[in-house]
Amino acid sequence: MNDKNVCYTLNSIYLYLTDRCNLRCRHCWIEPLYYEGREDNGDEFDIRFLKKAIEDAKEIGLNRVKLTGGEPFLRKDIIDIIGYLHAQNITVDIETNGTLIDKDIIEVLKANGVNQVSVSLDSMTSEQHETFRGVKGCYHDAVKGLSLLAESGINTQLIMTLYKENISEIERLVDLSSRMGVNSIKINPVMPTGRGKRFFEKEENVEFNDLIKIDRWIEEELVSKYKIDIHFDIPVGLKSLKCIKTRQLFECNIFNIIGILSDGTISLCGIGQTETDLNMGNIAVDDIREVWANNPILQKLRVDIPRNLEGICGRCIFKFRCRGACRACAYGLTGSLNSPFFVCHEAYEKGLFLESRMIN
Amino acid sequence: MEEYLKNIERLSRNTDCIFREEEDGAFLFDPETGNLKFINNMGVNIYQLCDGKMTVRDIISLVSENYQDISSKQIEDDVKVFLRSLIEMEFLRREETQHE
Repeated sequence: MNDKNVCYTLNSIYLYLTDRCNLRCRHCWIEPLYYEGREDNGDEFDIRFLKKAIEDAKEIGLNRVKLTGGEPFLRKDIIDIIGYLHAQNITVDIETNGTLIDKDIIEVLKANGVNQVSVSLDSMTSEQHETFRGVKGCYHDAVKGLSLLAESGINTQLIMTLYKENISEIERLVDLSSRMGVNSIKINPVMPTGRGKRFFEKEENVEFNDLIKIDRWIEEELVSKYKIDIHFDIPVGLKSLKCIKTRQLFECNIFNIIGILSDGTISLCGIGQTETDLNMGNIAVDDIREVWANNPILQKLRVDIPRNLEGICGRCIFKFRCRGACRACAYGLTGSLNSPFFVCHEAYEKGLFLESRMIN
Repeated sequence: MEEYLKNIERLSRNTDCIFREEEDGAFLFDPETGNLKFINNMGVNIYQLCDGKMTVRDIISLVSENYQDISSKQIEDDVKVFLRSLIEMEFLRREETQHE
């Protein structure tokens, strides 16, 4: 809940370790540079600045860091960074395409108590996965990485990006994950930001009615059929009542998160890569505590969300909980952090948003 | 310890809050505080009985009629816990108590 008297703690940092990636994913909202080697181009932040930012952030609540990218394992000093965070008692989660994971890396992750590793896999068919991810051979490497992680006992998550053509892959990937011993699967519909815009222009995204059908099918059939945790990422206001009652849903804790981009830029999250208006400083020169306390973007966000959310998000009875789903996506589409989330807006425009969940 | 909710008390629904029924229950939502609670069908019945006229005892009696296989003490405890949670979230308001 927002209030000027509330003290906001910075619990989590999304750390974009590099803007390079060894894949060319068709939907990526960060739009990293394609690059296979591990040498950076000289503009990635120095670990010394990161250490200072982490130490400062710990004073205002930091206890968790998510390492992402680009592909985080392209970063030369990722092992040092993981080791440092572990020594600081920070919970570390990693998002990766899985292609660079080998036995040596697994040992490092285990030795440093990494909390969770999420690997992207979108299809059981190598051709479909590789067409989507833009690089030949990446399917085999991703499955191998996923398998090594699951076997190691590290908490492993499969992340599937959903679009029209791979809907039929959902159960196949749930089944594979279940058999491999993966702990959870998260299914994210493509978003219309970054390269994802083209999916919407070509109408390759999953339509609203199908999103709801898939959600109900997952909740009514797959969840009981498979032991693995399955999360389908649509806003809480669109979920079934049974799901809201009984399941833990993913919700963005936007009041407790900040992003650090690969060049050290402090931003709302990864959106700062493309929406530079949301950048708030740089860890090389700015004190993250000062940014967190006084940056006008964050201050406005704390006042506006959820009370000044616009459109259907402002009328939704879940607005205090959902906070307008992904605010970065809303900004990317409209230039406003208060605008409605596009999926709920579409539902409302089509008369499909449940009346029972709207404030008159 | 003093009892939180007395049998003679009367409760009324906070009309500033939003009550929305769905197939298997309903949501209560306070647009001012953001408080949100899901209640099942039995909870809906109890909530709707809180009209400012019925006493807590009346409500417990009506609920007991539908659950004769459950002890009246158990029902009283469960109903009072439920009502307390709605009072604390300000979905229900206590009326001025008149002594019997």
